[in-house]
Amino acid sequence: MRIGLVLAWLFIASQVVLIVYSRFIPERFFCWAPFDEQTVYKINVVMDGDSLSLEEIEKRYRYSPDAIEPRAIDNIFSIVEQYEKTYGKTDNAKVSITYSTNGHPSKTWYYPQ
Amino acid sequence: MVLSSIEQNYPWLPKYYPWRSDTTEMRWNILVMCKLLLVILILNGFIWKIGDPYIPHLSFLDMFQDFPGTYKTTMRIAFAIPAGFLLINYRPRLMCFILGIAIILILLASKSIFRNHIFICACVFLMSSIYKKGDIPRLIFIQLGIVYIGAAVNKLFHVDWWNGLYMHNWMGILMENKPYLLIFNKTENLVFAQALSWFSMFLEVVIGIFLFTNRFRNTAVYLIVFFHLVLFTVTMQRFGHFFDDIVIILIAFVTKESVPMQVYAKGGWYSLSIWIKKLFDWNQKITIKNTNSESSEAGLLVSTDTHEYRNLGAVTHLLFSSGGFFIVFFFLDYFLQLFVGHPVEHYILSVVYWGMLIVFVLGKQSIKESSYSFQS
Repeated sequence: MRIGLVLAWLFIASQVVLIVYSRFIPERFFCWAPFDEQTVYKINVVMDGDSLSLEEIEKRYRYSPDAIEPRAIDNIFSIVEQYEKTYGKTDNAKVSITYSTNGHPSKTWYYPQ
Repeated sequence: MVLSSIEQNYPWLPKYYPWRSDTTEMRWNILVMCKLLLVILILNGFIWKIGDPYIPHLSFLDMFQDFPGTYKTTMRIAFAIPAGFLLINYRPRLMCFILGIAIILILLASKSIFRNHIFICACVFLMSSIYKKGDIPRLIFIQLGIVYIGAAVNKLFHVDWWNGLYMHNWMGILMENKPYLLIFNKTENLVFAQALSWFSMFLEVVIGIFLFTNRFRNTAVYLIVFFHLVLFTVTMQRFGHFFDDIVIILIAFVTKESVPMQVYAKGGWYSLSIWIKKLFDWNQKITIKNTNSESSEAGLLVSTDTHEYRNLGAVTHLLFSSGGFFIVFFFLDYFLQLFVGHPVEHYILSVVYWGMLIVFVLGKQSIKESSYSFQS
């Protein structure tokens, strides 16, 4: 049990580290930040001049393309950016995410920036 | 009768009945909690979310793209087999450990499936795996404290929680919550939204800190129940299955041991105790004696080796010492969601949950007034 206790305490400590670390980055994974923002968003993807359908976008990122996000919107930016830099590197897709957080005026995020 | 005859031939079998929680090296309430967390993951289709790494948190996991199906199959097996063994009480601590690690690896493999209500299950499985019967599961309490502190920290640094914009946008505009709008329309400013925001942040900080202490831990539990019941009642939301997770994790705070209980009851109390035994006494700890013909003060008396409880306090004790009570209640909640549906299910459950809280508080009060400890 002693080793178990040590490992458990290390795991708890890692969560504390992640909570502090999250203060310095925009994403909110593994830092206990549920439901601290409400963002209405919509993802648009254009490839070779054609816009992808909502179903195609959902299949691409495995995430709803038109919904209300109750976690940080930066989580979605992170998903899209990582996809486009890796699996979608050769697609030359142009992504735009129109979003409004907590009722603030709409903004648009683009990839590539 | 069928079971009795099978048990005569296989006397080791009852140890593995899924509805038993007192036959392992794990404390009975921790085992019940872990089983219910597992069931809620299964009922919410977690196993179908398990796939190959896709937009992983750890980029090296993309190497599994060259071996399609390998990660998915391995993780599904790593989830399904310990899940099965946990449900039949086979080496539950080890199974919880494997489940916790497996769930974290699954979440790390895909940013798209990350959810806090899944991550909390993994954390609690890991913390549960280190405790044996007789141990106080302090790290589960601390884990829950970390959750509330983390949630509070995120809000404290967000200006929209200080100016009320988050609360107004969420409750007033997106949810069009009637009770909120009733008050907002009278005030015509964000003062009420601000008050709700500040109160939430304050409560989360207090709960988090209290959970780290022995002295105020019980107060933290009451605050958690109050906070989430109010959220559940007013917003009619479960936040994924986060509400369910929190309620289930509170089972870890039950301090009652699974010990034999002698019940002396008369009149209506006798019928009630028979029903409690039939419905919830899956660990077969309750023995009931009808005292109609005897002159005893209490209508219901529950006696263990160390304590005695009377009337409403005895009812509370019987319910909260029975693994069956939590399991039956969980499935009642689930079947109401499934067959009755939103919003009627929500109204029914709100009344039931608040009723249970009142009975529990009154029962606790009754325990304080009427319980007798044989320990010096």
